[in-house]
Amino acid sequence: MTGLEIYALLPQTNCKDCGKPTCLAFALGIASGQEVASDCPHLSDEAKDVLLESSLPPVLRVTAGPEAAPLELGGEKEIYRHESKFVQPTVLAVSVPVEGGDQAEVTSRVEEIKALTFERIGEEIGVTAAAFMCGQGATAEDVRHGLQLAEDAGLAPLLLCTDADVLAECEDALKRSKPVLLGVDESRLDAFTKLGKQTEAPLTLVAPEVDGLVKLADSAKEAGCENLLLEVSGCGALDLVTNLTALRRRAVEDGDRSAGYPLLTKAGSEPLDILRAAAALCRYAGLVIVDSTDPALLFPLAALVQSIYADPQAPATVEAGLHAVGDPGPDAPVLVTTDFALTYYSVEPEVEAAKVPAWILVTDSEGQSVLTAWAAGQFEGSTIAKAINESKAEERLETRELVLPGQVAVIQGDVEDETGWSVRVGPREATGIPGFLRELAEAKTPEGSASDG
Amino acid sequence: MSASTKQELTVTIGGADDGEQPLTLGGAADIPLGSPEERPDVAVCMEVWDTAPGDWPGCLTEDIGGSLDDPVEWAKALIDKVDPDAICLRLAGSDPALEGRSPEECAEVAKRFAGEIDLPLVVVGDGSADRETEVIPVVAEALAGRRCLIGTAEERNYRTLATAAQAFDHCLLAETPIDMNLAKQLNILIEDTGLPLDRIVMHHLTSGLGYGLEYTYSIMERSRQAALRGDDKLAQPMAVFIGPETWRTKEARASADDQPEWGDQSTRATLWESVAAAAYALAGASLLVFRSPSAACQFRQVWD
Ligand code: SF4
Repeated sequence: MTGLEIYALLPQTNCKDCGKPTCLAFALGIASGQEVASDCPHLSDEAKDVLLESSLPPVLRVTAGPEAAPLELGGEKEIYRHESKFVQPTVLAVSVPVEGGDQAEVTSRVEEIKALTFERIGEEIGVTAAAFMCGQGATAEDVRHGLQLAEDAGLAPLLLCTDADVLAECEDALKRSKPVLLGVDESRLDAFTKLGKQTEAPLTLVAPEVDGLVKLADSAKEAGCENLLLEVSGCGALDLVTNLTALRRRAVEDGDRSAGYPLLTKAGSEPLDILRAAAALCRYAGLVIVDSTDPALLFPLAALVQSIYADPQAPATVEAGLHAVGDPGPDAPVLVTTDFALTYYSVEPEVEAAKVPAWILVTDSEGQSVLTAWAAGQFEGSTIAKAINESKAEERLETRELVLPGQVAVIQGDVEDETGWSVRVGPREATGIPGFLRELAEAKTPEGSASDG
Repeated sequence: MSASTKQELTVTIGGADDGEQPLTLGGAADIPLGSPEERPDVAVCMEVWDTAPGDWPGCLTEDIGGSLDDPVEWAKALIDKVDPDAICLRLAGSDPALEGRSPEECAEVAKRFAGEIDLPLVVVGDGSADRETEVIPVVAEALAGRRCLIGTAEERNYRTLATAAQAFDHCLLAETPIDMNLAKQLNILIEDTGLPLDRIVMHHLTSGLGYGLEYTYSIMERSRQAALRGDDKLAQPMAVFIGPETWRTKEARASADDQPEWGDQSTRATLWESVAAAAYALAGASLLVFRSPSAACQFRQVWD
């Protein structure tokens, strides 16, 4: 809506209760996204309906999970991540077959799922949800058991159970855990919308076509259920992405509320399924269910979630200054690099792997990689001298030698002039660091005192 | 090639010899898979070196199979396994740390290779802009008639490479560091040398999965949008070099003994490459350069 359209709906009394001098200023603020309509206490009911509705994100926020481990989905506004960024990183779930009878297998599968986390660039990524897929024999007791396991493991629960009797029997557990309920097709809509209203568990709608899905969402809304997900699965990657993209475009470009729910896709257990899931999560799938606990399959997928949901405008950074790796002493080697997280976290594990305690001196280079910062004049002698001063490296350390990344060997002289330290050119690639540091350590054994002035 | 055409330009490489199928890149009128009609052909290109690389992990060299000492044999092994749309010959041997080959020696190698491989060719140097300035023009002359995609043109050497592309009827790979304005500027500079805009393929500097893909991905999406708005200086098809970037990463290089919690190396590393490929294809790439034949086949199977 434009500022003037919004203004037409305001009381136009300029009472200033919203903190703005005039209703018009407030209207323009709403239009630009800086103000929220609810800050005006005098809105008419009609204005509330229109303005509050229009301030909802095109993809509605949906919540699930127990209070202790809530699961947030949706809230997305964009088709292109560079317009701002994507909001909720895709949730990775792994399926847990529940056949009834054998609870030990379910327990050990949940344990395996819990272990599927990985450290990357200072963040923990990986699987955060478990999808309990009930077969014929599964009982209410099995469902309760699974939901409790998930809660204990800190995993968000998803549940596929189409037996209405079983579900009715464990309504208490559903109310508590609010699992994402899977597999709600047209034939089950009535029963599940009732259940959804009673338990506040979100429903995942399934229909063969995009149009059918949107229609089903309409029907669910009519029945009073708005806590919904839309599932697109069971087709090749290209159809999958085309359908997911069509739904997001309808939600964002056409403002079609019935298309504006978080999207879910199911992948199998093979590398090709992972690749399909990867394509789906680039294009808007907010929840992906994988049928495998193989870390070799899930790690690449988790790294892709981390990449796609990073803010492309704001590079991740680490703090400038001296970082210790492996309890270094004041005479330990000092490697210098920039504050771009991807750069720092490619250097740090290699230093760690060298098993030679060392310092990493991080420069304030506005989150740019070594080469980019160097090209922009933000990784040179003066930058490094500043990092030495601000980290008080000369007071804290006895070392007066820096190891410079090999790609910027050309600034060696400049760095020596600006810092007064001697400079050794290190390897070009981070993977060369362990060998380099070990050689350096050997050369520095008491006999081998290296001094070339 | 009117400036009002609101779509990606097309660039055709290869097809000059009898029997060789030309490869046309680009031509998109929307974002990839933005509608059921917009199903882009994404070309799969396999990377081959003119000299055996020293430090590639065993799971990669086993995947390639055959001998890496002979580029022709290497390429034929890949053609057998992948049936690629193009082959990328990297003349790494000009690097003094490897073979230290002269431009003439490189041209000799390239000519023999081209004589044996009748697929569209991408031919790039060893990564040093200075040496590529010396090597690529001589190689371009030796490959006249094949309409290769030659590279890599950067800000500091574009003039020489563009002149060679123009003189010997090749297309040019233009590389800038993840920046739209620099990409556009380089395209303009290259056009000023006389090489038409539909003979340029852009490379926004590939990053590996988890190593900057997030930035390249958006720069590529934005380039595509610029093309769809009618900016013919950013409407060139885009190439990405996934193989080299993937196989530098720790996640692809670490064995299962080094990192037991990361699972089997071959499975993980292959996906590290194919997942990046899928992401870049969705960001708008038309030419994907792979190292691992298994990763290329995975991508092919999914993107059909
Ligand atoms: S509080 Fe409402 S009525 Fe008062 S000035 Fe602000 S917008 Fe106008």
